[in-house]
Amino acid sequence: MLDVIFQGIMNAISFDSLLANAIGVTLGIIFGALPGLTAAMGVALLIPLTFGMPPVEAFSALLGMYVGAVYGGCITAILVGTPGTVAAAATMLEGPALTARGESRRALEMATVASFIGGIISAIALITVAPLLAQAAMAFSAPEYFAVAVFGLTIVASLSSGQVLKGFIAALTGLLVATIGLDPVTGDMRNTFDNPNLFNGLSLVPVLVGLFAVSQVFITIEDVIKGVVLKGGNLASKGLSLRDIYANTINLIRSSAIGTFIGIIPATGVSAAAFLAYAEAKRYSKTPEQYGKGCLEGIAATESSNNAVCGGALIPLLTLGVPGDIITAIMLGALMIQGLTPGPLLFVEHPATVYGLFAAFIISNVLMLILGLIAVRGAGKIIAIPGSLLMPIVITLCVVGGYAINNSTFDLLIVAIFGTLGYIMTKCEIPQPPFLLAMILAPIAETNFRRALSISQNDFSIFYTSPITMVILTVSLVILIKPIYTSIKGMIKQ
Amino acid sequence: MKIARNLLFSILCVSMLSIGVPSVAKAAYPDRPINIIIPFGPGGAVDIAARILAEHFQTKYDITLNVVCKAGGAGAPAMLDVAKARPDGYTYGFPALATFSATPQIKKTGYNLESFKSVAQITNMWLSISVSADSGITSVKQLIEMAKKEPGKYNFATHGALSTQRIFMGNILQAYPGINFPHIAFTSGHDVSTSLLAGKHITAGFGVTTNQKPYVLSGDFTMIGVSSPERLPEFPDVPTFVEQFGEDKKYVFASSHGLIAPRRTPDANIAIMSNLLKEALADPSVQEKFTKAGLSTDYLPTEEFQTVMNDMWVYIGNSLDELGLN
Repeated sequence: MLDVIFQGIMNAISFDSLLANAIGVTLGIIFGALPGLTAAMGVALLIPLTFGMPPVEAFSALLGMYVGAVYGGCITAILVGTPGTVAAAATMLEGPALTARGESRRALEMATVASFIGGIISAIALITVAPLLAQAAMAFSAPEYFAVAVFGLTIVASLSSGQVLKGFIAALTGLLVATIGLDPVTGDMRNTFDNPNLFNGLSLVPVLVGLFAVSQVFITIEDVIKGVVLKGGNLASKGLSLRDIYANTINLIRSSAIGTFIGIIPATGVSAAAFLAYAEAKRYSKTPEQYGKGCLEGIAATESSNNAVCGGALIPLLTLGVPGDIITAIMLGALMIQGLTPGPLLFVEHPATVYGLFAAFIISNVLMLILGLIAVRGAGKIIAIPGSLLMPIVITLCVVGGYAINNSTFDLLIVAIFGTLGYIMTKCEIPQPPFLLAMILAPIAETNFRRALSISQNDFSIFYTSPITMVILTVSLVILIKPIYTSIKGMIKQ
Repeated sequence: MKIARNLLFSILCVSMLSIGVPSVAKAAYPDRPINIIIPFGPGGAVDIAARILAEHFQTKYDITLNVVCKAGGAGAPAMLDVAKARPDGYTYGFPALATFSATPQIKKTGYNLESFKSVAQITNMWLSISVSADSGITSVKQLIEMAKKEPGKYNFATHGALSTQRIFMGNILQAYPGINFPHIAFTSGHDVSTSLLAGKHITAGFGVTTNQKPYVLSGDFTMIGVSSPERLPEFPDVPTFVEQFGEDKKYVFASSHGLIAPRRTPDANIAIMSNLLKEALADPSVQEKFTKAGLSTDYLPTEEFQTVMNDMWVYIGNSLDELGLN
């Protein structure tokens, strides 16, 4: 057994594999940092190039791309307030505020280290307890997914910090927007107005880019018109200290665990994991009032959890042949092309390859840490660019990104519309994150709710007969009732 | 000095304008990159097929094929782009014919069958229905008989509300009026397999052989029906729908995928493209890569593929009428 493990590791640290891995990570960071170029696109583009490679080498490139792209999104999110990927959406909650305070380097280095820790913790889970965890995840089906999505939606209260009513306005608008498109059960068209571009609903990336990035550009334009002089940000000299990491130990471990677990459950997604980890970090924080104003803990939580999803998503893929998201679905295809059928037999028939994949995944994370720390040194200089130059660059990135995701000019219209909406929301002090969260979670909640009911033939007992569903829904209810209870108690005291 | 500047300016203007002018000596088609618009996201079977072909065209013929992924909207936005493209042989679509035929017959999309003409068929997929291996079910007929005895207890899942598989099952169930055998809609074929693996709520998953093959090989699924006219060599134990429900054209279904062009594209260009595809799909290295990706190479020339397109349009249209889905 030991010689097989050793052989796998040797395959992963051969020169060719290391080179493939480094190229994968580098491209991944670039794909992640540029809005509109997604991890899924990057992995799909690499697949034809890996046809001729031996399996471990091929997967060094693919895993490198995956890890790099999920990490890379934070660079643009922190520096210019444009999320490079959907995975980095939650990082937007803290990143730009830290940059505005001149702590961009500290934030970026925290994001890099947190991503590395998240990746490594998920790798440990993958190597040690993968089959066990995968079996547990298979207990999830429609009613359980619905419960998880509802639990996710309770974060709205936490994201609205003090402005619960406005938070709910944003979340409900998000839910409304999410109904656009083909009805998931009957196939009827909803709110599409016979426009084929709306048949599948709105794509997340154009909405995200509009809501967060374009709206920021509009606000800067307004400042210019008002006569505010735009200055470049101060180059941050203050880096990350060991004490920062030490202070976040529990936060990092908790967030990585959340990320790994969300990764294992198929079809929940990387952005949901980041938001969940963020909300939990805030709940347990000693200084929750700092959240939203540039808090390093928040970045540690979101970035460790979104990279932990990578290792988590590999668990059901390798042990059961079940892809957890679009990227692992593409990787399933890549495994088949290599003549490897994922599932329990994979570990018996190709142990050397499996251990090679594990080693390649760990190497990807190490390379991401090294290349990431180098990249953020250079990228950090972006903020020295004066606003009058930076804003046109940002808007160009937004337009390219909005178009590239589906090669659709219609999506540019979406970018513009949601840019305007984001501007109005900012002016009215309506928080945007609840809107985004609702849009991400609504399809999961709705399809699984209705799927559960079509399975049970409209018998609602399906939602309280499964213990997992019952527990998650009860916890969600408690979270919702607690603030109401506290405020009523406060009123009685008065 | 001023003259010199004017001269420079006019030279610059002329050179800039002439960028847009097509070269007079027209080289043989194709002399610039060709766009292949596919109505799927990156990484799916069609995307992989298109990229294998693109790689081959680049190395073998020095022709660049740009694979443009435009997923979503039941294929409508992508096909609309093809229909509206300049009909010069530099834009093609690579759809799944079933979805291509279903969407415009259900909803107004701005295009129909007449907006396109065929180039060549590239690959075929067979529909297949699988159950969990523990269930002990061995045929679709047995499953339907069980569903008749205990209404609503058993169900089947497909990848979407308007999937071809749902339409096909509707055709089979017409022989069983009043049966309660509900359809559960998922969002992708992989989701269907995941739910079937969990084995809690879903009785049968209806997808394509390519997607279900790994789970059949691992022993998790039993495949109980395929839509091919005869049993498939890779699944010799799996009965066809024709065997189970009788000799009828509506029980055979090949999910055909191929290249289509805007209607007014010159026939000469289509013929060149079709021949290049024929050569490429006969190439052993391309065939090997297709097989590795779980795909077959099923080249059909232009006229025959046009017949397949027309037949599919009618088949889907009739099925939608009968099921009242349109």
